[in-house]
Amino acid sequence: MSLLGILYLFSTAAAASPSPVAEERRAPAILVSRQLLASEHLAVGDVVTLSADPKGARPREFRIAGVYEPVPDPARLGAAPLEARLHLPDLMDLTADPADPIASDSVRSINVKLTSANDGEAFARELAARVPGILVRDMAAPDDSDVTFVVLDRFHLAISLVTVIASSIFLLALMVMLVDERRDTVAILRLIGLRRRRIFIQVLAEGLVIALAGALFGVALAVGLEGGFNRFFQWRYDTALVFVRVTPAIAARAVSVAVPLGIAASVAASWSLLRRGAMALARR
Amino acid sequence: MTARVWAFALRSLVRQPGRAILGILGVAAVGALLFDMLLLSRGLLVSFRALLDSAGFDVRVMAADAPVLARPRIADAEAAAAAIRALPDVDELVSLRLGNATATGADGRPQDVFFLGADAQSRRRPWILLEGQDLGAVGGEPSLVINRQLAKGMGLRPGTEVTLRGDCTRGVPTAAPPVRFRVVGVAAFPFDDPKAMTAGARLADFARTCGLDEHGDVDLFLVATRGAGAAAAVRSIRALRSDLHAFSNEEIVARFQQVGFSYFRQISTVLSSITLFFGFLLITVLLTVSVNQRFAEIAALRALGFARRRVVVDVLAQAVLLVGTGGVLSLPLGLLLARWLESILHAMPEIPENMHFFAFEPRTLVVHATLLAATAVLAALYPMRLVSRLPIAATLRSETVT
Amino acid sequence: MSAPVVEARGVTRSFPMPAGPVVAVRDLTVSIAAGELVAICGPSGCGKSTLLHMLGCVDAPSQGQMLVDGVDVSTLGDAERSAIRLSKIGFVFQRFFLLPMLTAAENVELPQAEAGAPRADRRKRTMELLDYVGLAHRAHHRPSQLSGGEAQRVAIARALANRPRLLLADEPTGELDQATGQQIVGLFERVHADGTTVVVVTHDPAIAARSPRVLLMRDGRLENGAAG
Repeated sequence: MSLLGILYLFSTAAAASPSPVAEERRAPAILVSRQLLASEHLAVGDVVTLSADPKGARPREFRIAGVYEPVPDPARLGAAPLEARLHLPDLMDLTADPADPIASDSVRSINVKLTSANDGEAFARELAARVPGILVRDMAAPDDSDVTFVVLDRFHLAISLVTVIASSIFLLALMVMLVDERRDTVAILRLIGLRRRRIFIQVLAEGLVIALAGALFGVALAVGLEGGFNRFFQWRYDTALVFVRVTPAIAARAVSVAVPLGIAASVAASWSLLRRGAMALARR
Repeated sequence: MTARVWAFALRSLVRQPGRAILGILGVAAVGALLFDMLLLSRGLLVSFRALLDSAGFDVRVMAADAPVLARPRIADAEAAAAAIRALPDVDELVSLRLGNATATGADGRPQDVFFLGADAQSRRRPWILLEGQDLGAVGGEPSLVINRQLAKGMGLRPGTEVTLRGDCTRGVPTAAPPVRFRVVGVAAFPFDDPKAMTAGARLADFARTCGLDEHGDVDLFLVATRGAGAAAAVRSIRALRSDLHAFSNEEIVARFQQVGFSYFRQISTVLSSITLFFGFLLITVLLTVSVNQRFAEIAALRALGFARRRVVVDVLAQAVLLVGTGGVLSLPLGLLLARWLESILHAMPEIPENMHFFAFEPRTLVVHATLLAATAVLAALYPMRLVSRLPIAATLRSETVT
Repeated sequence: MSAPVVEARGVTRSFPMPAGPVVAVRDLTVSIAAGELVAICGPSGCGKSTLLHMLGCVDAPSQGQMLVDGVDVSTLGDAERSAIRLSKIGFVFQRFFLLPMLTAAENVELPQAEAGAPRADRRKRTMELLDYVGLAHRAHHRPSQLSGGEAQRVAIARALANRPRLLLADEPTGELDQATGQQIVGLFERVHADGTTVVVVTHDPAIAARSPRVLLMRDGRLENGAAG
C-alpha cells in the first residue's frame, strides 16, 4: 500500500543525546526520502517526532529505519520530495481524528494490482457498481497528467518542425553554393557528351551520400550528447528522471526525415544547372 | 559606416540573389524561434504575475506552505483576520474558502462547479465583475456570482436561480440540504481555465451550502497592502503570526519560476542557444564561401587602392544586412509562430484562460536585436579575417595562372 | 631627364617554400622616369609580374627599397600604401577583374567614390573616360555583356579614374586575340602620349616592339637598362 501526504516534522532527538535502545525499540520504524534526510540533516537510526497537526498536537515518535529514493514525478520537477513512509496502522493512528469513530478504519485510496492489466476498465466498472459511492479509476486510462505530456509532446513536435524548416533552408543554401562551385565541371562534362540524365544520377547519388552521412552523424551526435544532457538535468533537479532518450524509433524517424530532405535539396539546387544547355553553362 | 559602404555591400549580396534570399530566410526562421523562446522564457512569469495582481491583492496568507489539496485550513480565522487587518501595512483582507458543488438549473441537469466563498464586506473581490451586480455585504437571499462558462453552460444570467449542493470537505459528501441561490452577476475569476465552471458566494452562504460553521476555518486570506508595500506587510504578518505562511506576489512568482515554470525556462535557454548557433553557422558559411569565390576581385580592389579596413568592413556590412533583414522578418513570423505554439500549450489541463506562455515585453525586442547583432558580428569574424589577411600579389598571381 | 616616378633600389623578393626559398627578383635596381612608356619582357617565371607588383606597392620587397615620388614605401603602413595606389597608381590586369554586379560606368566610378570625389564630378569624369576608350555607348552594360577587348578598355578607364601618375599593366593582352590586343596597345600609347607614365609587363614581342624602352628580365635580374 502506498502512503500519501506530507507530514510535519518537528524535532530530531538522536543528535543531542543518543536514544536508549529500549526507546528505539518502542518507536515504530519509518522510511524517509533521501531529500528529506538531507534537508533536515537526519541519519538512519535517528528518532524523530511526527505530527499531523500544524500546531504539533498529538505527536508520535518514530525511528528512521531507512532511506528511499522517491519515484521521480515529472509533473513536480524542481520540487524536492520531502516524504516519509509509515506502516499503514501507524499512519492511521497518527492522522485519525479522535472524534471520528470510523477514522481508524478509513483510507484515502486503495491500489489494486490485477492479474491481467487489460482487465482494468472492466474491473473498475464492476467495482463501482458493487460499492456505490467510491471512485474507481483504471490507471491505464489517460488522465490529466497524461494530457499534459501529450501536449508537451505536440509542443516538441512543433519546435522540431520549425527546426527542420530552418535546417532545410540552410541545407539548400549550402547546396546552392556547392553547385555554383561546380558549374564549370558540369559544363565540361556536358560539353564532352555526358547526358543530363547521367549528371542527374550523379547529383542524386551525391545528395544521398551526403544526406545519409549527415543524418547518421546527427544521430551519433544526439546519442553522444544524450548522456551529458541527462546527467546535467538530473544534477540540476536532483532527480532520477531521464530527460532525453534516443530510441531506435526516434533515430529511424530522424534519418527518414533527413535523407529525403537532403536529396531534395541537392536536386533542387542542381535543377538550374541541369536545365541549362552546355554552352550556356560554359559561357562566362 | 557610410551609405556608400552599405550600397556596395547590398550590391555584393544581390549579385547572388538565391544565396542572399536563402540566408535571409534561414535567419528569419531561426530568428523567429529565438524570439519565441525569449517570449517563453518570461511569458509565464509575466502572465502569472499579472494574474496575481489583477484583483488587487498582493499578499496571500495560508496555514501551511503546501499544495492546495494537502493544505490545512487557517483555524480561528476571524480572530486572525481581525489581527492582520489591524496592521498598518494592510489595507484590506478577504477570507476565502474553496470547495466544490453540484449546481442544478431549471432543467434539472446537474453540473459540477468550483465553488468559493469570499468575505463580502471588503471593497475588493477575488473576481472581476463583468455584468450585473456584485454580492451584497450582508443579509438578503443567498446570491451568487458566476463565470461566463457556467452562465453559458446552464443558461444562467443575473436574476435567474440555481440550486447548489456543496462538496467542500475534500471528497467527503455533506448531508447539508441544497441551497437555492439567485445569480446576481457574471464575473471573471482570474485563475479559471477555459472549461472551468466557477461560482462565488458570501462566506455565510458558502458555509450553509457546505454544512460548515460560518465562523470556522478558511483556506486563504487575500491581502491588499498600502504604505511600505507587500514586502513590509509580509514581514509584519510573519512577526504577528509566525504559525501562518504569508507570501507576497513576488515570492509566489519566484517559487513558480523555480519549480512550476522550470521546464519552460530550460527549454527556452536550450533552444535559444541552438538557434543562435545555427544562425551563426549559416551566416559564417555563406559569407566565407562568398569571400572565397571573390578573392581575385577583392585582391583587384586592394590593388586599385581600397584599404584593408574598407574591404573588411564590406564583409561586416554584408553580415549585418543579411542578419538585419532576416531579423526584421523574424518578428512577424515569430508572433505567428507564438500564436500557434500558445494554442498547443493551452491545451494543458487547468491552465488559466488568461495565463499566457508567450507574453510580449519591449525588452524582448531589445534582447532579440542584441543577440542577432552579436551573432552577425561573430559570424563575420572569420571571413573578415580571411579578407584582412589576403595577400594581394599572390592572389592576383594565382588567379592569373589558374 | 625628369625625376623618377618610381624607383627600385637593390630590391630582392623571395618566397619561402617547403622545398626552400624561391627568389623571384634578385638585387634589382631600376628607375622609371615621369612620362616614359616602358615594356618589361622576359620568359615566363622570370619575375616580371613580381617586379610590377612591387612597383605598384601591391607587394613589398624582401630586401632593398621601393620609392614612389621619392618616398620609401616600405616605411608606410597599409592605409598609406592603399592611398598611394588609389591616387597615384592605376592598375590593369590580364583578367580585367571588373566587378560583375556593377555596370561599366559604375566600375569606372568606383575608385573615384573611394577617393571621395563628389557625385557630379564622378559622373562627368566617368563618361569622359568611357568616351576616351570608345565605350560611352556601353556605359550601362555589365561586364558579362562586353567582349574581352571592351572589358579591358573599361578596365583601363577604371585605372585612369583618379588621374594616376603611373599606369601599370600586367599582361593586358594575355586574354585577347592579336587584333584586339593591338587595339589595347594603341590605347596605352595614347594614354602615354597624354602624359601618363606607363609600364607594361608582357611576353609578347610585338608589344615590346612598340615601346620606346624595353627592360629584359631573366631569372629575376635585369639584363639591360636600369635607368631610363
